[in-house]
Amino acid sequence: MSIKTNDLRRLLYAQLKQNIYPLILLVCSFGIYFTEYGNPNAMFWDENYHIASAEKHIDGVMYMEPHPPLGKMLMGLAEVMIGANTHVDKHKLNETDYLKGEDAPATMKYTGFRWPSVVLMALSVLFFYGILQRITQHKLFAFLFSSFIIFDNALVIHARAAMLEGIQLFFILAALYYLVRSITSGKKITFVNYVILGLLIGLAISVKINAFILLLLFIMLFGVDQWKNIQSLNFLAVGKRLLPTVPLGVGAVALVFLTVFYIHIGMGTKVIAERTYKASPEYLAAIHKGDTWSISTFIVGMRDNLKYMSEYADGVPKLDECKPDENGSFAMNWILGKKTINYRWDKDTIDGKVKVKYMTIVGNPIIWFSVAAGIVLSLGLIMSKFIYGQQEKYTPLFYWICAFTSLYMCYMIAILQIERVMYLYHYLVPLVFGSINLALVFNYIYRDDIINNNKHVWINISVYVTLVIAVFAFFSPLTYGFALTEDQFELRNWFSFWKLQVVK
Amino acid sequence: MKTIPFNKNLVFSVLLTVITLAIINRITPPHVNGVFNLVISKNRTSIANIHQQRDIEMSKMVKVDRINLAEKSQFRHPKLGEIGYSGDFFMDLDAPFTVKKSGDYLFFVSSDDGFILSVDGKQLCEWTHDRPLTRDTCNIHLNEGQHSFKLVYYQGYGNAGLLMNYRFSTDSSEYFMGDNSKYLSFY
Repeated sequence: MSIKTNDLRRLLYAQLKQNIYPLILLVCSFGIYFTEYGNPNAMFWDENYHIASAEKHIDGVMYMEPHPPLGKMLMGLAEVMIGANTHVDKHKLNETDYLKGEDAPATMKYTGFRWPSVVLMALSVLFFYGILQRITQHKLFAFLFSSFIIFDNALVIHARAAMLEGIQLFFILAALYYLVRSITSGKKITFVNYVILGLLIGLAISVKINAFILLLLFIMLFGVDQWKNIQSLNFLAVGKRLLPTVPLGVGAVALVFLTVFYIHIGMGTKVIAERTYKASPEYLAAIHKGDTWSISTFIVGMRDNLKYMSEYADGVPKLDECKPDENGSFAMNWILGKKTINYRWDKDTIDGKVKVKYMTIVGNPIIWFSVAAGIVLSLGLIMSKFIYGQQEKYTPLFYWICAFTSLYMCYMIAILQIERVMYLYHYLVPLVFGSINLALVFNYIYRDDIINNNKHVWINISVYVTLVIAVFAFFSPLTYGFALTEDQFELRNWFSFWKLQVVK
Repeated sequence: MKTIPFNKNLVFSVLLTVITLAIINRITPPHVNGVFNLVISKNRTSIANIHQQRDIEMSKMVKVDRINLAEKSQFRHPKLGEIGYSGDFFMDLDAPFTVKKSGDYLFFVSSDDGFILSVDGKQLCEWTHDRPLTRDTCNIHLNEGQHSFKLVYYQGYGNAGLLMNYRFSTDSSEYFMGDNSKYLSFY
């Protein structure tokens, strides 16, 4: 009996030791993302849209939106499961697409709607750690650099809300982790790998369309899968492999995307307040008949939803930097954190002093500037091989750097083609690519010292991570809405190009 | 030829040190020499006249180096930032100074809103009610030695600010109260 207990204890200890880093990360992540996430008990930024949409899923109301519905479905599901507003009359949410603060029920809580974004983003750190650990093969290094996804003020404020990015980043990191796992596992890449990767990409796209950038992951998986044939210019074998893998991968993406829309269309069983979203007469007739789950209704509903998304995108205004209250910004400016957005503020006079609770999206400058530096360094490294013919020192690591730099660059190039106004939080996706890239570049530069356990490199990394955490803490009043005086606010206004605006 | 070995870790250490020092410099709250102790008192009711009955809700003492408190059209110190209340407050200052050279002195008080300036217990000038930032000139003959001045100021609502300068009558150089010169010293 005692032998068994000892064995169990030893096994538990071994497991704990094995997983101590992810456990610590998870505790930190939940501490940062989850603590008091119900505050402010009021909506800010796009919550006014998403909460109204999520409620429509709960009440079976038909609606259309510029973004695919998975994010709002999860918000609706969490709202029902948590039941924070069971006795609140939320009928007003169904009568509008943009819920004004004054129309929101006074006693309504936001913990349910925000839950998926908060929890999924907090869990994402495990994928981030897994990606770094698998590529660098160094647990402590992966652990320390995973702080980048926990202690970024922009990620935290945006994910602690009923918004889409937190949910989407979870699926994006899951897809990236799966790609890394498939390639580094040492096993042969099979059709199953393509299908699972496709399912994860499909989930990310079903939250927000900009996750289409992840289709590049198929190219990477295929490149590794067929590396020998590509090197030997065996195009016949490459073509043979393409024939099943493309339909399997893309089919999995399409399957998830269409299934999400099938559920969305099926759940929309009533039209409220004549809000038809320009739905076709056939679609409306099917809703009135209660025939929303049929394939024929799905086809017309899907067509109408895609048309609505397209028309909505065409109607979004362009960036106008001359507009005094313009919140949008040019994509190239995001790299240095321009321009911040004051999502919400509450002004109060305490002991004769004006204090303001700001909810402002501002990046952790240590992380954002480091990510930019990492991209510059990795581009230099890539050019040194492909232009100057230098031999890379660590080949697999070099190609991972190529992969994440490509993802970052392709996203930014794609975004630059979009004419409509875009906002700083559209940079959160490439910021995550760039954060992984930064860790890899750092590992590439200091790899020998890291492997040889050079004290100096570990002291440097520790100081670096401490700086990241300290700067996060310094800017946290803008992230969590802690009251600041004007002077305290100005202490945080580090760069005029951020365009932080004090509330007088 | 000997080459200096390139130490990547040292480069990163230096970079981290520079960044840390820059951040510390940026976020350290400002500090100035405490030449004057200002007593700033928040009034419960609106203030319309410097002589009106005070109904003080709370007071605080703020140390400043000079009477240069009109930044951004508010009762703000250039380094310390906002030191007053949001509106309806009095400020009292009673401080000694040393005259190094006997002669006629000009004191310039710019205020938004009212003020009273007295030297050695004798009122020199005043503005009793509200106004935008406007400058008054007050003259006095001072003998070498110790003296004291008293400055009372109030802010009602809207923009605010207070500046006080001095100069020797035959010299065009102007100084802030609090700045030592060959004519006056404050500590």
